Amino acid sequence: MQLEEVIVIVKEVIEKSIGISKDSIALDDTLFDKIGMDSIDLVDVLFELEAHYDVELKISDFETRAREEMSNEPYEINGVITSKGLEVLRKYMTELDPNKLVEGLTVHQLIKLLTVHSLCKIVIHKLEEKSKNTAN
Amino acid sequence: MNLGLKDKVVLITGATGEIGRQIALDFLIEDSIVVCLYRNAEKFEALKKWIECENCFSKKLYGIRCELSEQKEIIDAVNETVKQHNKIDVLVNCAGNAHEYPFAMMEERHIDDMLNHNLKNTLLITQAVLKPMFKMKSGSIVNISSVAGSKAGRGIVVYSAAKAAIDSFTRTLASEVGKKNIRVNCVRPGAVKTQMSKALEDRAAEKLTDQIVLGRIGKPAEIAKAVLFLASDITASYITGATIDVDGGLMF
Repeated sequence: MQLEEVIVIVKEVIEKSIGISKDSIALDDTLFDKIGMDSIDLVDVLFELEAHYDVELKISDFETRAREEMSNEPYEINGVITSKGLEVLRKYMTELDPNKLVEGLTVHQLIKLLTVHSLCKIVIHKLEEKSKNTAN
Repeated sequence: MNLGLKDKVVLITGATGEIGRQIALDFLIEDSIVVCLYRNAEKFEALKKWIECENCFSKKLYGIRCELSEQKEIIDAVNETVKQHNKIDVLVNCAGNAHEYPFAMMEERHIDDMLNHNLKNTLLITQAVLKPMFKMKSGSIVNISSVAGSKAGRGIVVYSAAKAAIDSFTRTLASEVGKKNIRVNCVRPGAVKTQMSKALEDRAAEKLTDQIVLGRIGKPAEIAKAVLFLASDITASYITGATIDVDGGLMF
């Protein structure tokens, strides 16, 4: 699945859910600060994308890859992302503002940094997983 | 008054109970499509017979067997309802149970049971139903709580705590999903003539009615009327996060 195809759908879904024009949405826009979504809007967008692509999406999916990469080391302690966790996030979530991935960042604060690109990436990741499972 | 509930898809838990079955009947009278989640097939068959005995057709009454403590079964039941009827307009959380027992003597498993039946199961089914409601950008959820959640009473400590939590759940969920046009409200029955309240009635009928402004115990039909009022987008389109006490004016 190409990023360009997913972007079109993600923008349409955001437009439908939030009521802003899809033409005003950029790939690097943060979902919360720039687009003005809140956590319920994000849930709504994830539900719509789930229905469109027939995959299951959760808010926690954004950091699943980072958590998987951590092997035995903790990704977060009491909700605060560890130094190693931040390192992995910088590697896998290159779309996030690196200046915001600083010590003391919590799991909840990370959600506020998500961008339209993050949404697209998680959809693509889930579609790839689905395709692998179908092939198996 | 037309409540606009014709062909609305109504999912009900606890419909085989005496209040629940009256709620199911009243929705059927309004020509809604009623889907009951039941645990006991015999009780669901009894419900169908009772509905027919009340001179109401049961052809728009459907049942799905579902263990409400199992999240997967709940999700499957919700998906099945959407598959069959395309949507869920209304959820009525009526499942629950109460039996009097001194808190100081309750075992952990009894506390868990009471909290699961009266609180956790409601949270799980509500969470599952939100997905189709978000998709439609509309929905109405009516929780059946109890005046026990706000009044004192012996032997009902955990039940009362669970019902108070349902009241709070109603208010907070309403604020969370309101902008997606989903309304969440609550009906708090007082003493209602059912098997569940029989022990209380048998023990203290006179004392109890003395404490009720209207001087009598309520009927399941009087609870159902409030539920339909809140479920309807015509009568309650601007009501959310509300709790209606249907208790005849209980004073204690």
